[in-house]
Amino acid sequence: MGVSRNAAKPEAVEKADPSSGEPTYAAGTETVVAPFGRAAKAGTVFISGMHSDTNPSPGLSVARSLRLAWPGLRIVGLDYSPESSGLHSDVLDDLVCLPTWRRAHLETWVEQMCRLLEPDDALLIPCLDLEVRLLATELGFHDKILGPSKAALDMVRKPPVEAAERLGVRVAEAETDTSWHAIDRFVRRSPHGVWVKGEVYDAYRAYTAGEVLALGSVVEHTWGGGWHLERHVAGQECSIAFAALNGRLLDAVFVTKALVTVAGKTWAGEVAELDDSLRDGLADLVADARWTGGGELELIRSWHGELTLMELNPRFPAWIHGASVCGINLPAALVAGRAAGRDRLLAPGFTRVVEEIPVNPALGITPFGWVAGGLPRPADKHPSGMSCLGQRHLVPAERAAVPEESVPTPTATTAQTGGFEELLAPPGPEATPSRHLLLPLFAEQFQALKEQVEGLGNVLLAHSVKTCPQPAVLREAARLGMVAEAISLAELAAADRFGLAAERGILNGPAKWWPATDHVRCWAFFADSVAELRSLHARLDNGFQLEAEVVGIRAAPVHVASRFGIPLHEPEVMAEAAGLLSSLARRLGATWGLHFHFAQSVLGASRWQRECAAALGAADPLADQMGGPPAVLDVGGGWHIDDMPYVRASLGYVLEHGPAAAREADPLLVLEPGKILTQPTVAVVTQVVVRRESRKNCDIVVDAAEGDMPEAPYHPHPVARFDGSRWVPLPPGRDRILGRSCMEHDVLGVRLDLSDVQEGDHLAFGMCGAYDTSMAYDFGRGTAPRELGHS
Amino acid sequence: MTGLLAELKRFERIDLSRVACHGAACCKAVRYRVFGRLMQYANVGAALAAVPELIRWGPVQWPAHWCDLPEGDGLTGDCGVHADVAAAVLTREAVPHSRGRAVLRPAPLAPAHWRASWNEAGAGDAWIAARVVHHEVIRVGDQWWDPSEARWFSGAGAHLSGGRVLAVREEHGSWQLDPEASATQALP
Repeated sequence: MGVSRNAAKPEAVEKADPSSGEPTYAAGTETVVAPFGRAAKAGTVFISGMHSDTNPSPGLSVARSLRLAWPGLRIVGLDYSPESSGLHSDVLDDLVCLPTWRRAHLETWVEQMCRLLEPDDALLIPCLDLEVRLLATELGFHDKILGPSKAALDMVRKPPVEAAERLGVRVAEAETDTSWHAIDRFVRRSPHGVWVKGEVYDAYRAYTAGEVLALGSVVEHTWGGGWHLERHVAGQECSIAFAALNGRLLDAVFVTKALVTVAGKTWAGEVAELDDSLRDGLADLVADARWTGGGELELIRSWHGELTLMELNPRFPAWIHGASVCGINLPAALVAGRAAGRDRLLAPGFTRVVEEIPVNPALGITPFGWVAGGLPRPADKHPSGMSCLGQRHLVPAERAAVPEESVPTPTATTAQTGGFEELLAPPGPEATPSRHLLLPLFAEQFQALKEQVEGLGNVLLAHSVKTCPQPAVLREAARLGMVAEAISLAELAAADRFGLAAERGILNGPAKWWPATDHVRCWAFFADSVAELRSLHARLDNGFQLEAEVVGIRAAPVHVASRFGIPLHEPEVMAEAAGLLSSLARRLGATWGLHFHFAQSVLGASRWQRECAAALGAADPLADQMGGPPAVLDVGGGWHIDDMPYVRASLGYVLEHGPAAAREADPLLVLEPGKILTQPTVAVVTQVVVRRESRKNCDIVVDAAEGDMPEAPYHPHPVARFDGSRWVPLPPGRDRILGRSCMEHDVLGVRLDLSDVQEGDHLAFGMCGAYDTSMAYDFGRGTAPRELGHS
Repeated sequence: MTGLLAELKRFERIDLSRVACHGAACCKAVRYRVFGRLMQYANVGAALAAVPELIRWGPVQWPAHWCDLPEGDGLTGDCGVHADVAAAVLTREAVPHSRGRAVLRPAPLAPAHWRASWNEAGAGDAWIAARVVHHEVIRVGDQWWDPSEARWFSGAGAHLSGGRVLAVREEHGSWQLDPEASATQALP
């Protein structure tokens, strides 16, 4: 069994320690007092997970801790590849190298593990997550295995909500619904990004829904299981490691990470005892779980000191020897089966160092493995081969890779629920794809928005013409008392034609004076740059006639990059802008205003309101230079349809934390929420052209394409199928809807269940108003741009 | 040494693997699937590394045909399949090479896994002896290539993830033994 090492270990000579009555072990000239006494009945301890690199497995650290406690203990390293670097360490007396999980036979593995543990004095400390689970599944309770049972593992599955409750700490907000829509919503509401977490291993940080979908595929491909999302919690990373036997907490340690690697792995840490409250909570948790073995709670401590539980790992952490050398030796407590006393002196912390060692001659050095795609193979990144074990699906899945059903969240309007299908008429004889205006949803959104701004002061709602220049919508906006927000004179003229008077209109954007004319009348305009202010002065000098009641400037965001606006946070720029604006206001006999604009759908409500408040903060120093406060504060940026319930809170935040002028001077607040009003007002009906099935999923091709809904490849849209009598929303799944064009990215829907969808069926995409309509274009229809002439 | 020599003799009777073709669509489609995928790689090393990624290591009943390789969503083949495919890639790229075999001494607990898997699949396990195993490799220049692990190795005496290389032999050549194995590691 195993490959015996030639390297001789110093003989451990047992002596009696007269002061403590405990046995001591003399190794060469070094005498070590063993506070744990004999290692219970252990003669040989097998330890798995021996790989040691910048993302080490815990095995070598556990072995060192046991060696620290008992120099004479027989320690055998166990792993699944000769590339597992810790197998070469001379801390080990012996090693067992099993075949990688790509090449292992499950029943043979079970037999061999049982045979290894046959001797009365043998123990196993499993240190690999999936191996722990497989042992619990295949061997059930085994008194030689110091690892948790399946029931215990079930109690601490990710996300660890139950464990957090028992410990009295917070848990990171998580989303287990991995449909595109749910991912998009969760990411938008996570200002610091999210973690894509595998069911048993791996976590990747992501900031966009697209990144999440791609990383989720990586996790599925690498580990063969499901995944979920967790909101990133900013703070200090810390951990509690513990050892327990049959539900009795033996010992625990609190470590605060002091240095981490680029991959976020601990490199140095402060070591401390747990406070009584945490210790009691942990003792209750391990008692309820009847936990045996090591464990680690990964936590984030906020600046205020609150703890958030991120994960509970069913094995010791890889830094565990750091705690041992500081005075808390959990692996030894586990093997001794004895609770440690707490009247101990601890070293304040530990650090890691890099060490080179010669390879074990029996294992040799394995040559470099070539890779096909330029990235390391999963088996190379994880030499213990756990990813292969995951791919073989030998451990029961905790979470399917298929998205779970969405849990409906409280929403304010029908539009946000994707309830467009209730308004949409059955498909008629018209050719598909066809576009259908759902005008009642515009009024519904307007009403909801009005309720959001009620009581916030003097608020004017503006319709962003670019998000829906349809005459019917422009007329409806006028009927509802809105004003036009235009980015060109052409838009302003179109709005004027359909009831949104130009003299009440607002001009925004970097080229608002296009197409060129010698006379413009509007209510307000906001210059996008200092150059535009200069140019306006020059044009006025040359006879340009401009009538406006409010002249203003657009403030650039302070924290996020943007091609728009004036960087008023730069003092010289502010001074120049203020001078030009002031003289322009005088020339036109106008009051002045300040504008902020950034897509809320990109930033999410939390970041948007902070950016808005920060940018508008320039109003106070500008007021000093302008000689008075602004008459108008104009805020905009396309709001996401789901975020209507956040409008009031966000505007409240801006008014409270933005410029003093907003509270003291009672300026008119103009709100340009863009697509939140128009996104639900259009549906696109399409027909299934082709259905293609594979072993894993199904794709359908429809006769609509990205040109019919340009945002569809980038943002989730609700989809319904007409079942002969009504439109029925499609449930989440693993299938895709492909557009009819020849573009690779023309994918209109992902992670849907299309099992009921057949060729010829009608599907309807909701939320196709706004840019899906105003930016729609002919593609693949044999037409050419109009200036080139139609054939 | 006697034990090792006896195993070498026995392994010599195993033919180097050549995946056969039925000459019909069943095999041609699989062959196309394999070499179509390998064509995408712009350099030989990447294409060779892709072989074991594309064809999962596992039991095959010999004589094997291309249409025997699909299993589930993927393809399965042993080191003989890997060597045959890798050799075809080298031929396509006009890299001089020759087929060969190696004898490995794996970790002691490994052969039981492989024997169990091969027996379960009803495939012959003649390549697995008590303490050594037969492995197909490729000679390229003065080095050896392990087509199942996508690694260069120097020959007898080297270590692969499958075990220590006790002996290598180029097709039509003679065995080269690991000097250490011949001196001290003689099999019983």
